[in-house]
Amino acid sequence: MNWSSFVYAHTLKARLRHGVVDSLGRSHFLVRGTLDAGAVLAKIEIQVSKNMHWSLQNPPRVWCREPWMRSEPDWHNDREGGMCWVLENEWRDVLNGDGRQPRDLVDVATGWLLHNVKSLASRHHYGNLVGLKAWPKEWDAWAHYDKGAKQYERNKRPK
Amino acid sequence: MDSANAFVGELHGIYRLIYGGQLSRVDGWRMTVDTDKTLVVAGRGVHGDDSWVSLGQAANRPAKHLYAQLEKAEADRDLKRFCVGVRNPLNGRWIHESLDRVPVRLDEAVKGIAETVKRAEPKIDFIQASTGWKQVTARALPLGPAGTPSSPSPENPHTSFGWVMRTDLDGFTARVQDCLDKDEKLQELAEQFYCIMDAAAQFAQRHQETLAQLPWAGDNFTAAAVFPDKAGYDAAIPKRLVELSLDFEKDMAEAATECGFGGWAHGVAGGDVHGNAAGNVFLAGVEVGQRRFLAGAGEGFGRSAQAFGDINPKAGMIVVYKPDWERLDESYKKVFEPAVNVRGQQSTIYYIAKAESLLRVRAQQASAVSFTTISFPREQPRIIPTKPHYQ
Repeated sequence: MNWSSFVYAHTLKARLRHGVVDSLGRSHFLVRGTLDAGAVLAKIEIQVSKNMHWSLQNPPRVWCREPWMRSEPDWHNDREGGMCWVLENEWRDVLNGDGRQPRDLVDVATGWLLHNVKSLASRHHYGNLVGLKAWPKEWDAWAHYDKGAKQYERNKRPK
Repeated sequence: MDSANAFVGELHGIYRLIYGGQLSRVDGWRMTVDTDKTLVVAGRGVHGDDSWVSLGQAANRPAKHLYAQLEKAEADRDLKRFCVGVRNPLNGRWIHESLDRVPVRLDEAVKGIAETVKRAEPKIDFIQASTGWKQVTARALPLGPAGTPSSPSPENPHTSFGWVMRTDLDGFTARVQDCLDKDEKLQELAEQFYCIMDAAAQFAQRHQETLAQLPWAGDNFTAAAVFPDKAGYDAAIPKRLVELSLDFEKDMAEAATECGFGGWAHGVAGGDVHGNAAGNVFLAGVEVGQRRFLAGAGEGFGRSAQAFGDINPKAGMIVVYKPDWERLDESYKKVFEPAVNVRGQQSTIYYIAKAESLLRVRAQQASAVSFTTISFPREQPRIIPTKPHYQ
């Protein structure tokens, strides 16, 4: 475990209601708590690697098991795999720059994760409230699987 | 009933002794009386003030009868100043009579109370909104303790801009009535109410607005959302006036339903701020000895209370005062409709909406396309669209 990953887990915890951090063996922290997503409260679990370098390469996995969360690819959520709240390549590119201080990385990684999780949870909640059948086109999302990563790489290239 | 009459007489006598010579300061008073069993619990609030909460029909009915008078002009009120309304338990009718006809027996002890109050000049400490002792959290209004010498005087009161949110717990009074004479059940009910009071205190602490929590009035929670300046108040009204009540629902609905209650009914009012007024919400601590009772004044307090007497909303309904409704964001405004009052007529001063319908509007806004700003020191901030990715 390095110090930054401990701080990251506890910074996430502090931003949740009734937040707690448990240790999951030697490899991960499990942060649990309630996220105030504006219109709704959502209980979430976040698995944070004890190796901060790993976390900067691989976004933490997040689960929200509220009854209004759907487990469907088009809704970017899987009961087992968790919420697909960010594109891995983008996370990696943005967070791995030169000369960043660990505290700044923790702050950015915390804000980004919670913002995106809140957004995805809010969409599930709204979809459930009004009975949406399909993910609306106007809600931006990357294409599934590798297609999304390719889309991202294409967008990245200078035009 | 005899002891109630004696108490009314003594109270009226004390008021006469205190205010008799200076009725220009106080226009008068009116009282309502009912007698029956009630459940009494010690109040718990975020500011640590002292209050006792009396629960049950006999505690509710006098307040409702008094509220019902507020919607009428002074000349049209059945319960006139210096009169008492007493409920006849046999037929439920209210009988009004002059307080001056109630026998007043002021013994030395009672006279002593009045003299003490007169000497002390009833102390009203208007609360300092920005500094003070016992800052519970960043979001609960910091309140000075009883006896703080630096409190502004009644002649120079501290005022704020804000609105008042009242919520009423549905089904509580009926539960009290069911439990009367069953001590164990009453004890259980009191414990449940303590849980609700604690949850409400937490709500007042964690909130986005600065909230001042007033003492519980029966099962009625009251808080004032206050802003240091008018610009902040004006900016907040279009959305936060509704969203504060939705936040209360979000935080407190579970506490209510878990305890077997129906939910919360809401009354919200701020009112117009006229001309160069320095505020529309006045908060005071009325001190008696070392104990302090928080009290609020201003149009928002009156109109939000009147909403319950006039409209009597059901659980899950939010009633808003018309001048505030007019200032709401269009997305929320269009969900409301003119309220129907307890006499079945369309109200000219209140609008009503289902909390559930307002929640849909809020949820839609929360689900809209958004962006994250990534900002590292010494780097240009990046704006990244919030896009999920299934893998």
